[in-house]
Amino acid sequence: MRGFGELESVVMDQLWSLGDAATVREVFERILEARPIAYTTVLSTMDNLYRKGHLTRERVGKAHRYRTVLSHAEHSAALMRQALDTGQDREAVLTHFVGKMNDEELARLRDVLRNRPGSSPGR
Amino acid sequence: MTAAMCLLTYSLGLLAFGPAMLRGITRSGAAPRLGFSLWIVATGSVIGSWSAAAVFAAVELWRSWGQLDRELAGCLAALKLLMSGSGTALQTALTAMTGLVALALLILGIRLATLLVRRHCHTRRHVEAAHLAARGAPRGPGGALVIEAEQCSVYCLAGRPGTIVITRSALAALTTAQMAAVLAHERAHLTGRHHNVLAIAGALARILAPLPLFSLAYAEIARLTEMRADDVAARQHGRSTVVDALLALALPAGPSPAPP
Repeated sequence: MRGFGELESVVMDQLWSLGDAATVREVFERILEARPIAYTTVLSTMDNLYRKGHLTRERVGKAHRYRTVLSHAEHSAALMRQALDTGQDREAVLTHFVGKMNDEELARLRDVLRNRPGSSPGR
Repeated sequence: MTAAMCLLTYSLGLLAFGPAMLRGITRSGAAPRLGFSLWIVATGSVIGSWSAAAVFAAVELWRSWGQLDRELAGCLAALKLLMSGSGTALQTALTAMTGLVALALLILGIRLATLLVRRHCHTRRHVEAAHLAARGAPRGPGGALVIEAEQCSVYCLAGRPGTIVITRSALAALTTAQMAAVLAHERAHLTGRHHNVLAIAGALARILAPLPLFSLAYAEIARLTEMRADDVAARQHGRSTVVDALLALALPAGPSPAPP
């Protein structure tokens, strides 16, 4: 399923696997192992990621060496922080299946669990 | 001026008594969709009545420019006695008031638009960040993005089309049936366009913070849309499965508490 950001995700994946930094050629050759792709496509994708602020770059000879601004762990952590932030002024509107509960609510949930007909929660 | 006065009185009444009345009606959450629609209609009608009042007042002033005291005599006899000879002063005052209300509404509209645009941009950035975090991995159940994170979390973001994000821990914590129920819950949010409603309600609550009706409306609409999504998921997958999924995600992993 090719969709929005698909290629960008693949490129970031390669960069993160290559120690957070690589040239266009290095990323292009890795992707080519899995599927046909044009060098210029990879080049423009990495350029876009640079313009959006996900990558920095420095000149190495005639080419650019791109580096991720955040490691994968930092990126995911930042994402989760934003997602789980329950403040009133949360900027993106997103809905969770279950919100963060305090101890009192968890205790009440356990009561519901105990009093339910037939049982312990199956997994 | 009667129309403007009536509309303003209506809005004042709703601002004063609305919160208690509406909360009483929608508290039980028996019909969540009707419930949050009621809140939407209430808050929308307050803003609508202000706008209509300003328009009516402006039209009246324009039609009776220079003869205001005579026009008002019909319904405000006492005022006419007080104000005879001060028609101009009254006219000026009313014009100023109408102008201020119109200006306030304009500012409200601009602030609302700004907040909504900002939210939209943030959501898009979050969607993009989620795609990158997924590292191009194959989509999870229901086409959801799967990201590596220790938190058990399932959430969705508005967009065309919407995006559902699942963490790998959540995927591990739920059975197939429970996962399907959770996805149905999130999809109910997307098809019901709850994010749009919440965005507007949230923006109004922020702009009109001193008026309790709007803050309460936001909290209630958030609660009722969650109940609506739960209802949809329960109808499709059974209430028991929905509860099981909730417990699986909410309770910290570990041996389940034994019944007493």
